[in-house]
Amino acid sequence: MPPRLFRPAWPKSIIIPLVALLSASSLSAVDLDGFAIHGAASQTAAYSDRYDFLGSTASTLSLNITELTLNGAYRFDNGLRFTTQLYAYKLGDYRNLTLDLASLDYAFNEKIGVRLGRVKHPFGLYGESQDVDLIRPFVFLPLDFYNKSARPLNAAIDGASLYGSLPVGAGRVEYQLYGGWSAKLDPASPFIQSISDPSPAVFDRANLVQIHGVWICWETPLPGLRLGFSHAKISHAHFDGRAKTSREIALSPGDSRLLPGFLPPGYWDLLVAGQRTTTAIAEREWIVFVEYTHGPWQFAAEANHGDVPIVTTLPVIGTLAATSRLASYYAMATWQVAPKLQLGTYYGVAYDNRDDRDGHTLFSVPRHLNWLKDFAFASSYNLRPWWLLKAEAHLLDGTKGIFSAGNGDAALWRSHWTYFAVKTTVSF
Amino acid sequence: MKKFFQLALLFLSLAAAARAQDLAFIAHPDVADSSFSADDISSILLGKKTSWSSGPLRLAVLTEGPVHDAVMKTYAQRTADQFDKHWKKLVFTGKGIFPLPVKTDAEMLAYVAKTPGAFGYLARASVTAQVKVIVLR
Repeated sequence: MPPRLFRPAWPKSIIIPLVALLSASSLSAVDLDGFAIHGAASQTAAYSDRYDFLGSTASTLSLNITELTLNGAYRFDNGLRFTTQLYAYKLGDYRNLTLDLASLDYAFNEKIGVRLGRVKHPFGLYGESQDVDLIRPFVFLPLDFYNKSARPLNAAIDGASLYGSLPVGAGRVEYQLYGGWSAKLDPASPFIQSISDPSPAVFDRANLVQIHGVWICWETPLPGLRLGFSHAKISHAHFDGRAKTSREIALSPGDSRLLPGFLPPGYWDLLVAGQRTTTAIAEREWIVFVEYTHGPWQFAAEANHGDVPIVTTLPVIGTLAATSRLASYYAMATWQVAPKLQLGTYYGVAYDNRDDRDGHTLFSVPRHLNWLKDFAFASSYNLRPWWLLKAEAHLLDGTKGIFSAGNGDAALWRSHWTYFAVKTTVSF
Repeated sequence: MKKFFQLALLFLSLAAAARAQDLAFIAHPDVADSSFSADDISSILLGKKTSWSSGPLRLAVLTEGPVHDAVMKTYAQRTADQFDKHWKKLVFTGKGIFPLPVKTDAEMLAYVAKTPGAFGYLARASVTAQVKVIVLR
């Protein structure tokens, strides 16, 4: 394949609203009779020395991610608050416009409030704010922990949440209890691709997924230190699709990990491939986190364990069941060097199977498919209060999260790779 | 050397306390509440406390200056930049509406005096009878 050097990828459908948005706003918040409007627009360009990752980035500087956010909020005289937010994005070749938020919020007092409608899904330290890049120096939060491809599932839910802040003997405890359904999942989205990739089926239909959980954070008496925990349970996730051929399943020649061992060679393609299948996926996720802010410094760390039972129902064969035991961890530090300049770094480690961290159970494919170790350095600079520039470098070990599409025979994949990104964001 | 740092720390603490005494928290005259703790002030500034006992609270913040810096440091316990990012996070996650930014004490005074439920802060020397001063307990 000839090297690709630069791929301009500014779609008109994104440029035109961007220009209209910015010129209309004069880069300051808009207040329409008490209805406050804010927004942000950003463009990311990324390059990898080896892989297509979040776009066509292998040996190419690709304008792979474009994001537009438009937020409006109104507070009624009785204290009820309405918020809505549109989020349009292009991730690789995938484009989508989503209603990111549409909620009614009423706080009875500081201790208890309720939100109804489409609300943000709280998980970990930054689950709710994963798209708000204005508040951090990083282009990407830790690549596995806050997987950009997974946002259609984990960004928001349609349902309700109870929240509040309770004084305790020492410090305060903030909490959120929530439950609801995911937004409709688009079969073409990178999220569906991410679950199709390690599956014997190509999914073309997904139902609404139930999500409920709890988020608790203790703001300790030590100023700037907070510790927390979140738990989410995802259930009733069903994905329909077509059984892949054995060739489509194999990441490299000889890879038969996803084929039932009792089936004689050739029988899969004869009896199963091309037939309709259903896959049921559930997940329980536990996250613990800590964050400490001291002057211009901020330190954070999180640990996430997830158990994901997967049951695939296939014609002739019946059901295939397996459980993924995921793990992801990171530690991060940021430093506000000067009023306009911020630096940051993190190291993250993630495993597809935490019981087999070295990938010893993988055959015919590289062991490094089981992990991703991500060392990142980032800087951000405020050219103007409303205009932010970022640059980031990742030194990576492992290929967990690399899609088969565009990356060729997995037997040839190498464990070590680099990923560079620059991003600019304007906001009002 | 240790003594020097202790003296420097003492000096900085006294300076911050002096600045904190030079400012006043004010509310619309119709607001029923008349005193707050430092924790209450912190909760208001960070968007956790959004109502008075009598109705919605409307927060205004200065955009710069020594009074703003003192309030950020002593009550919000954040730098001005961290405070700005905190509110961006609240706004873009559907958890708040930006406080009204005002540039001068005169603007703050005018807004709080005319807006039911308004709350803000300014230099103590700028306070007039148009607004209610909130006592810190």
